[in-house]
Amino acid sequence: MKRGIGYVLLFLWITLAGSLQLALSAIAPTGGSDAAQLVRALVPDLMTLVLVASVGRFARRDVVMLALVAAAARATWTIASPFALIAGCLVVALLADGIRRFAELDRASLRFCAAGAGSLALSAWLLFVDFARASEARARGQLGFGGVEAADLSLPLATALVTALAGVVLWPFLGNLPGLRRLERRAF
Amino acid sequence: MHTRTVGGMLAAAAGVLALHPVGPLERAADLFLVPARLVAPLGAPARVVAAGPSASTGRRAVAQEAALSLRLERAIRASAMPDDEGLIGPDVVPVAGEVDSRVGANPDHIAVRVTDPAPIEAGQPVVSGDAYVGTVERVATSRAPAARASLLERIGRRLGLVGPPAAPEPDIVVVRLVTDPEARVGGRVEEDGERPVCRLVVGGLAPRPDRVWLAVHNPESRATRSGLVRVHEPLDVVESYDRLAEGFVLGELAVERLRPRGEVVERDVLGVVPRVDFESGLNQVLVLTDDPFGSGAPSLESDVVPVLEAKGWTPARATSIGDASPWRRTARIDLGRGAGVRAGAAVVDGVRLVGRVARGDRRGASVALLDDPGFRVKVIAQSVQDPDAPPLVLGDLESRGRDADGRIAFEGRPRSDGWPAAWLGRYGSEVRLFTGSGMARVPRGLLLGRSRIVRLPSDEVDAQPVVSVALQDVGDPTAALMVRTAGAHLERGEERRAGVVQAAEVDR
Repeated sequence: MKRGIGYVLLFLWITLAGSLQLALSAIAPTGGSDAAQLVRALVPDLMTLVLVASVGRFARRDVVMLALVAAAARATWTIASPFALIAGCLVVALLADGIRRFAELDRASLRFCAAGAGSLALSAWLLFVDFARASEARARGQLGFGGVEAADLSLPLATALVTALAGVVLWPFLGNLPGLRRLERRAF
Repeated sequence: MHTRTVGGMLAAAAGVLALHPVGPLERAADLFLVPARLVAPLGAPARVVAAGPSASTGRRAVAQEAALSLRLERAIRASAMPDDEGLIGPDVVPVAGEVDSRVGANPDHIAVRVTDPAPIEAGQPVVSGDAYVGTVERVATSRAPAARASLLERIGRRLGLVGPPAAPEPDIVVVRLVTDPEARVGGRVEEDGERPVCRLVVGGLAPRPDRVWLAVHNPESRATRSGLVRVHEPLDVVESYDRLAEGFVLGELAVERLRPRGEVVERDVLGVVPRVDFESGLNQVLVLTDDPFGSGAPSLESDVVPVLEAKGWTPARATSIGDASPWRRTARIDLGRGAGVRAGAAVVDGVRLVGRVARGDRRGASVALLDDPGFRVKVIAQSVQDPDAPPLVLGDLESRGRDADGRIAFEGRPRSDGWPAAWLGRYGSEVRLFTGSGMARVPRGLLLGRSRIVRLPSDEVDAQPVVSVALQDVGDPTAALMVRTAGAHLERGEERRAGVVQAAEVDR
């Protein structure tokens, strides 16, 4: 029960992070010039950041559950398919968990790597799914939306870089989000 | 190790389902996420920021736009009548029909909603303007729902995993286009005015990789290489309904030396360049019948329904604007499958199309906005200079997102006549763009915006020109919205909704 409440609170934190992320994106200029698009992409992926920080903080057996909670929270703020989000968040969580196998994620360099790699992996995966689904819908004459060009890969790269930097700066706060103590791993 | 294995397997399975979506499983996932959707109001800050200071100050003439949409509808209906009145014989009764949608994934069949299905029979010809389009294949697409659904089906419906049974629509007829590989119609080539020089058979597509040409079969003479091709099915030769379309235009005969699709050597390919864009340019057609009790010329006025006075619109509100993926432009609205919202439904701000529902769940729906890169829409242009002029069919255009000036850029390649130089020369390149027919749950005549039509240079040699438009005066997703909860066809509501226009104006 206590763990359940912990997951609900984690869901709310990620959702709030998503709301803040969207608001920051909305402040960015609406023009479609390269510079304007780049400014929009320079908003850090706060939801991925909370997920990666949670993986670093909680027990390893909770990794799958953390990813599913993160996918559910992210689904509130995106048009992407729920299955694409589940797959993407699982990859991010497993990636962070893989890095954690060698060293604790509280080192600045590892925070940078985990946050950046997680954001890049998730964005690139969602970009690929958008492209694949739009191409298939177009070929079959079905209803389809999205459809991005290869050149757009620069946007996930920019987001990943900013997310990695934000990971270094915000980690102390994200590592101590209130209400999540009941999910923390026991001391070794 | 165990957790990583489980996680890896789950990720792989979810990845496969993401790339190869299965309808009921996607709906089950959406159902699972319903509790999560309860927090959607937390997106309010993004909506407030996206609205900005200008949204509440702009007061637009919704009534004026509705009137323009109505004028476009009348022009479209008029464009279905042939310019040459002599083409419709004295014993022919035309029945008007609006193109509704494609039939499944088959590009060679369209569903047409006709005003009077009674005289329509399979085999009757279908035309649009002076052009021959195809023949009626069958009447009524949907079967009546089974009297008693199975237990599994009922549970699926209760959970929202299975859609409700489609109601039979007796006014829908399925038309087989002349582009279908099985389609055949007799034709004659006219050179030097109206002198027939060669008879031939037309049907299916010529093996051109880059253009839509109708295939030519059994020409009387290989020497004839140009001329206007008209339908030629004289009653004394063949006993088919196609005789009713005698004289309608199939296109221009053309020949070009090229390497056909699937072949290794070049050869002369003979084909007919059609006058209509079969893929996305058909909006209004006529079914030619020989019903002796028919009502004569189809009415252009009586059943015209203004967009905002039709039933099937439900008020909605955007709960958040923006997407966690920075390359997408989407919004979330507060109405979902529970309110009858389905994928593809139009979301409008007054008469202006704001976007289309991409996916819906019980509590809300995600909307792809006009500036979402890859957003595709069938487009008809109305001249700003003369709104009553015959509309220009631009066909499928695809959004490229916003340009440096904040306008929404759309591009596309017209598939039939190429660059519409004559129309632009006569009516000007300044146009208002509206939605065309053939999109599920998107009525014809929704305003996209105003723009100038520009021709972009094409990289490929002899490639079709690229049409480019940059929309301004587009719909506002932060305004009071309405979402389509019925099909694309507009029907007048039981109660007059004349107040809707004023209400929309006051709302601004």
